Amino acid sequence: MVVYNFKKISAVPTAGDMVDIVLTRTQRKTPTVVHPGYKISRIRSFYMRKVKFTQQTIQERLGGIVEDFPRLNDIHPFYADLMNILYDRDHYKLALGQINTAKGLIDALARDYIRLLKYGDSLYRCKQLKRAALGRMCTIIKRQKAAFAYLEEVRKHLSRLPALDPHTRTLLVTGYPNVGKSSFMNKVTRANVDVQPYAFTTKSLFVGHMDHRYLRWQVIDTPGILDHPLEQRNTIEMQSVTALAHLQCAVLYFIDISEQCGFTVAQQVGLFKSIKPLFANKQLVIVVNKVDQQPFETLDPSKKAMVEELGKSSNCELMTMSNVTEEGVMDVKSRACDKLLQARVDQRVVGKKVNDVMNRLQVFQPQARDGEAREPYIPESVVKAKARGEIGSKDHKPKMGRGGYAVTKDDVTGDDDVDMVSGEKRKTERDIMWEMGGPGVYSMDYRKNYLLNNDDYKFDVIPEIMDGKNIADFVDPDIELKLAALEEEEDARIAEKEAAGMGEESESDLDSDEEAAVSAIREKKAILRQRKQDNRKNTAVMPRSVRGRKKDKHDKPMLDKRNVKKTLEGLGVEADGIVERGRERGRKRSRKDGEGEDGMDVEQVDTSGMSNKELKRHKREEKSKERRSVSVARSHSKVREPSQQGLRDDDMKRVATKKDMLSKRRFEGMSGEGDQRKTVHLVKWMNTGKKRNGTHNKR
Amino acid sequence: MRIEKCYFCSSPCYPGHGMKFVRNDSKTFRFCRSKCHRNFNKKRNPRKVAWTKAYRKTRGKEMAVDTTFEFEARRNRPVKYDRELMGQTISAMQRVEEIRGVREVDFYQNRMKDAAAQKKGEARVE
Repeated sequence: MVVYNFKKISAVPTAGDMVDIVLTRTQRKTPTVVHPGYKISRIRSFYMRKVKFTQQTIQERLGGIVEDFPRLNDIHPFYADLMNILYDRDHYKLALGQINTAKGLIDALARDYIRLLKYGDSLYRCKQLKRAALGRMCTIIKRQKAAFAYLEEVRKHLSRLPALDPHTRTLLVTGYPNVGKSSFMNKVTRANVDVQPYAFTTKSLFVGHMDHRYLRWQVIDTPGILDHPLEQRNTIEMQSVTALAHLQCAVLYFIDISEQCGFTVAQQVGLFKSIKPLFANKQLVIVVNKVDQQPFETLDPSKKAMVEELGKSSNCELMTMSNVTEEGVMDVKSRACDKLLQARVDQRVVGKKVNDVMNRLQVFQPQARDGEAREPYIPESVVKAKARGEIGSKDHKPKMGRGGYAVTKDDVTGDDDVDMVSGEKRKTERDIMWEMGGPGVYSMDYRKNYLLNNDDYKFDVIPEIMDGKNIADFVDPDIELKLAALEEEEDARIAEKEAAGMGEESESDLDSDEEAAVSAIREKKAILRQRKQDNRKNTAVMPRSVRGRKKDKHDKPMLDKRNVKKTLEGLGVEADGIVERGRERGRKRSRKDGEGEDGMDVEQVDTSGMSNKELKRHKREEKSKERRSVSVARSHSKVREPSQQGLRDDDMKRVATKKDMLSKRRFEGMSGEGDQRKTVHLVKWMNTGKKRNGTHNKR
Repeated sequence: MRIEKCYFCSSPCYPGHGMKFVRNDSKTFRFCRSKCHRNFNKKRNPRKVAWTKAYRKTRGKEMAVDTTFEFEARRNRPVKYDRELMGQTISAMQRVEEIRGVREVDFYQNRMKDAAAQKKGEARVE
């Protein structure tokens, strides 16, 4: 079933816009640069490409438009007729035809100009040709301005037509203006059609959908029809007539017997007779509307006769209803739907396809397997209630929607929780909630509805964690049994262990003397270790490469100058020069360290017994001795300390060091505010140790 | 509220502590503190990092297989609440812990008995 949806037609641009689109596209998508210096073939192909491209673009666009619009011969006759009424078939076809011819013309143009371009001999000539070609194409398009505008209007209107499926179940509502067709539509479907007291409120077809017997139905509301011959009908009426003519549907012809619409019953009956041919193959229901104003029974007998005669003559049903009181509305709907369904089924049965379906259907009746009678079970309370007449469909007035506002206390009505069976009003949780203060204040304690073995347990606080373990991991209905098994196992294990452990002695196998000896030895070892630690000076150690390698200590005798000379001469080498150089090197090293020269003995003065002052003097003398010894024979200058550079001589140097020492002297007992030194407040116990279970900001 | 185990060191992650990492294959990892998290990010294998329980159990320094471990199992079917059962569970938990403690001690001593022999040997030498 094709659902006609004309929304997919792409928008038709105006002529001016079309020209813009085409030309900008050409400019963007083709190369733009050409120079007179290029080869002529290149220039020609450049311009030919432009012309061709423009032609192609226009073809695409115009072709697209023509394709998109529906062809009146190919669509359902209802839509074809509708479009004819609304847009005039001839005009429509003409517009599309014009566009098609424009397309053809442009093709021809392009061909001609490309042929001409093949013989263009300069850039200028080619350019002029291209300009001419494009210009003429655009003129052709501009000439179609009217067609474009018309087609755009058509497209807009077309996309707004109601999506009608001409093949599905449809109910058509028709009659004079103002008889109550749109009101009926509103009642039956979810549509919201305008209902106003003036005639021709509904100006076009409206479609609504409803459900009946689990099927989807379309209800079409038409504009009112007046009684005059076909030729004099205006567009609006023609739409209804078209619908009537082409759609396979059930027709509901509305008659307003109260004559509130402004037309007499006679007129309405007359209209019916004149459009009767349109009802030829259709199910018809004549609906007498507005019976709340004028009940059918008390109607004027002549009018009544007319209406009844209508019913008999056309062999259709006559039904009464009122939109205002809603009596009979549903009946009318069901009747019409059932009639249509029946007609459709009958139609299908006649056809060939039915046999396929019938063969697929097999109806089984369950056979009774024994003689037992199985009655339906109805609880007693329900039987009693039924007898009392309380169970049945109640008229439910729909509650007024509050459109997004919060529910307040006033909206709460306690009367829709009447217990159907017992008839009492049951107090619901919502009522309790409102009593206790409202939604934010009170919330129901769901624990009271728990179903446990013992009702005392309902409000217990359930423990979750104990001793770093989850209790839920241990909960088990068989836990007692398992525990008993474990206890047995443990007893068994302990017994076994005792038995095995009798042979073992965990005590030491030495006697007390030996024990004492062992402990004494261990103590001594510990002391020695400690002493070694203490004897290490708390200073930086010179690296071995300077100090002397450990292994070289054993080799020292070998590196003695006499031994070296001996070995080298043994090998047959001239040893004197080598030994001299070695001595020089050693001397250099020793000078830097301040050690005594090779050959010059350093007096070992016992410094332990001297006082501080004497020690200082001794040191100074030693240094000066060294300096004196060095200053006599120096082959190269000694490197100065960085702090001593810039000082002229030794006196200045002495002054500088003295001042340096003075500034470093601490003022003890002379502490004022400016002399306080800030200590770092790191507490040992807080800032030492490994980080265990904490952060990295603190320990 | 549940106490989860840290993926790296197997210590308990109490609520409000630690981090949880969810990988793209939807496997979640809980860490008790940033130390474990950092080690994890460094792609260290907990079985090779000495201070974790996983290492200790792999190397046999701690009891790994025992019937007392079977009491603590994550059950997916909830048991209907029963006050008495809860009380029994709690006392059972405590008893199981005691037994496990005793067994751990025995395990340790068993492990260390060779060391005792060695110490005696050293004493002899001295």
